[in-house]
Amino acid sequence: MKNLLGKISFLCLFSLIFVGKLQAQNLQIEPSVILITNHQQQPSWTSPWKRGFTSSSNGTGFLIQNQWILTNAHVVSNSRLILLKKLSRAEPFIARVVAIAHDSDLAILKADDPSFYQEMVPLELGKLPELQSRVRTYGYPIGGTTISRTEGVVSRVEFGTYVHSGVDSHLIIQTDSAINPGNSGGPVLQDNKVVGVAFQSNPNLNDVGYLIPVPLIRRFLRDMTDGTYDGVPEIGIQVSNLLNKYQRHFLKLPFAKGGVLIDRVLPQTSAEGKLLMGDVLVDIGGVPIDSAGMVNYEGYRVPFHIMAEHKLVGDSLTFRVWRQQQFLEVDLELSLPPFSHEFRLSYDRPPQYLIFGGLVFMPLNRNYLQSARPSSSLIYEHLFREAENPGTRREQVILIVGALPSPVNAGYTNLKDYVVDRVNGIPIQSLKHLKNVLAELKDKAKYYRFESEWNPALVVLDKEAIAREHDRILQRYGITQGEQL
Amino acid sequence: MKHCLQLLLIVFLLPSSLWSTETEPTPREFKNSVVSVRSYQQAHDWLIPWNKKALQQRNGAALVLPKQQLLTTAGLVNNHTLIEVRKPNDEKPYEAEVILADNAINLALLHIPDPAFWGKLSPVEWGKAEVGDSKVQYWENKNEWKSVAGKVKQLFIGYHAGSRAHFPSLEVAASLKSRVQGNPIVQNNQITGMVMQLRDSNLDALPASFLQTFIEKAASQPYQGFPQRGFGWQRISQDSLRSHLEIDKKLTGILITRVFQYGTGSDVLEPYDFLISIAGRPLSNEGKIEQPQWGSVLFDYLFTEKSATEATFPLEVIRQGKRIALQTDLTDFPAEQYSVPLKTVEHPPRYVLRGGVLFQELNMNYLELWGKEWQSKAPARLSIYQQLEANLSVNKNRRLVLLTRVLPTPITIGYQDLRALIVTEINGHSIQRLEDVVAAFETPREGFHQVKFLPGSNRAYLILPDAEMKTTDQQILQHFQIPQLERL
Repeated sequence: MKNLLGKISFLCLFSLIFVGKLQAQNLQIEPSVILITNHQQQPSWTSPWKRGFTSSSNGTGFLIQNQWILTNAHVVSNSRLILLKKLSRAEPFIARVVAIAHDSDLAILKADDPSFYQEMVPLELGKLPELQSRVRTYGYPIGGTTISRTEGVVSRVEFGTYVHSGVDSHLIIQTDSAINPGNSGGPVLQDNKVVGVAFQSNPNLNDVGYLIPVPLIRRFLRDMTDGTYDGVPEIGIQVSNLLNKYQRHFLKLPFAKGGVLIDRVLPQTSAEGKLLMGDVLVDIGGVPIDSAGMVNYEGYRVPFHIMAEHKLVGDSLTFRVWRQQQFLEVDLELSLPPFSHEFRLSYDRPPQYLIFGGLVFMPLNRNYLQSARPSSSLIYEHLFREAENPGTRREQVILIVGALPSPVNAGYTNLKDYVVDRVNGIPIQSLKHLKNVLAELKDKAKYYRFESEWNPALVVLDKEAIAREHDRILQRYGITQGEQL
Repeated sequence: MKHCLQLLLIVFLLPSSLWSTETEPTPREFKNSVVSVRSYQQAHDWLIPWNKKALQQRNGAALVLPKQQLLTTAGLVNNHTLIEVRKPNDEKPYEAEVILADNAINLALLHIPDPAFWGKLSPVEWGKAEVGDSKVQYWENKNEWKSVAGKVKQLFIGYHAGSRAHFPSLEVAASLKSRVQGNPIVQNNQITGMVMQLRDSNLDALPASFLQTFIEKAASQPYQGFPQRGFGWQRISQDSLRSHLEIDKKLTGILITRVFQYGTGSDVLEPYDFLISIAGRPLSNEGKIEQPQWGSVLFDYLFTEKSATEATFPLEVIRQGKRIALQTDLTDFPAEQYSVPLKTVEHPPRYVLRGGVLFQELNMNYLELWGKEWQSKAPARLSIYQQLEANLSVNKNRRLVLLTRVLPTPITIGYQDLRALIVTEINGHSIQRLEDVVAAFETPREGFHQVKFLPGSNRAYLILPDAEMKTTDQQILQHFQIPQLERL
């Protein structure tokens, strides 16, 4: 009985000590966790001249070194005013963006008023957490106004898509701690050190949240130290696995396991001219690549691209390749992928457009593809043209996205997603190029003739009618700016 | 006297029907010209091409024709395993045979071999369809003859999405909700059309004149389908385009935007020809001709009016400012001539299976595995190619050969997840049809088969070992219970 009482007393004491320790940790950490309110103005990708009213959304940030507040890029995108709120003060502080990385969904803010930083201790960055280890998420999710803390377990460390840009895949940590709107940008800690930034969830799964791990955060901080954020470099290859033993025999590989086959080297990338289609990549940066394209990274099996994603633009990366029956060392100087403005969702930049003869011209990009139900021709131009016909991709694919009805464009008012290939026979390379071509034709031709490989309809506009109607069209539709290039 | 005058006035003001000796003819019933059709259908499975889908049952009607034939819709009898036809007041089902089915226009001719069937049946007497009152007569619950009042609202040039064929259709307002196919439209005591389908709250019907042309064509061997246009066109509603092309403002017509490899006019027309008349009939700027009975109708009407056996058909165009007279043949555009062939019900799926890798040709049957919204749900590249091939570069000899699925076998480890990839080459041979696949697999290189895919696919190529593939093929037949390795 005495023993039992003793055990109960010990457990109670342990619990009190544990709870007390936890409270002390929270008291240290919580003042450094900030509520961020972003007043944003979203552009319209279907009526690009429109400027809507602002809307506001909340997210979380936290103080790190150099009086920097780390948060997600999506928390502060398309911002017109950012306000920070500390735990101890009712008054908001104005903040500005110091650096933003849309490719890795991270941003650094700074408060204008130095008094903001009083009573705040910068949080320290830790390392990649172990599987099954416990982590604690801090933030200001919806459903309340005070700070929230939730605990969870690290359930996966792997590669995943960062939905903010829509195309980038990086290392990602999965926890069973739910991440709700408002949690974004909040710190996730283990042993009082930051092991990740909460950033997205999966609507198809319950109680699952995703974190941006520390290696990517550190890369971002290194990248921005010179005052400019360059971005995550990419290798620029497409590979296929070598799991099939007969394919390995066919390739006469002298090794039974490991390696992936290069199917395609993308133009204008780090790999162009260095790696070749048909090369077998055996290791990267001294780390062996397995037959499914995975490497061991700090105890986790992840795609070999991980070895490039923590590097900076201009850094080098060495591959060991099997080419023409021999091993070679190939050094790449890492660079950014081409056409990133077209392939990634774009933020903080107003849409480009040109209104001419009441027809609205825009470049094809991911934002436009997501805002409309894209036709097959647009998907082909965006994703497959260059792969099928190397060297044919234009700087921008220009579309007529619609018409502002006017006598000058009568008969063409139903035009939509018309890919402009040529104007009076001249191939069009970009929106700026289109503008220049139209200006050059002004004194040479009576008509502007637009042609598309995808749409046999011939679009012909009368030069004099355009000159007569242009201002009237803008006035009639309340458009103050006929172009944004 | 005053009273007498009033009486006279009343008499003169009475409706003429009360004192006329002429009365409306008694409405005729076509009980003996309409029979009930029940079809048991089993479609092919384009996902697992050696299988057939679940059995379905459809009901409709057919019209009795001379020469012991029945006329109904092709949709009612497609993929049939059994067609049962019932006569009025006769419980016995008679088995029918399909003489001809033209899916482009959705019509079929049937025959009942049992001579007993044909007793007491009267072939239809065709009348001329017109805008105005009509009736739809039909059998309900086997022996209950019914008539529903309706109205023929207009004749329009219908567009058959499945075949891309244009043909004249009647829009009929009538409240008939089910078993509509094959029932007669009755006007002025004559059959003036046949119901094809329910569209929104109206019925689509084919006019008697078109049905008669079909029956006439069916009598000549070999059957030749209805001619179709072999070109695309646009209206010129802009003065700027007209002036740019130097077309006189007074001339009416349409601008040819593309010319196909098949179809009427494809042999003589050129892009940017301004087509001003067809068969001597002037074209409006909307592409319509004046038809004496129906008024303005799309020019495609002319292709269905004339018999396909007539040798030539005159067209008149403005080409580079000059008026030119052209002669073209009336030709059709069969569904199988598209590079991505239109939906077919006549043939089972073609396929080739080698080493567990399944090859099929891209067609509309395959794309529709993703449902009605296949354009957004099917793999992007396949719907892109459907559009590319259908609209831009119809090539009569080329099909897109796909790797559609991979069966898990010891030699396909690493490839099991591959789906819907466009095959370009096998063992160095260009692949344009499934027959090329079979031939290419006859020539392995150093003991291996190399299958290459269109650049940009998620794999550049795969390798199959020749000796092991032959053994695997035999094992597949047994292990997966697949009846044959190919069907061409």
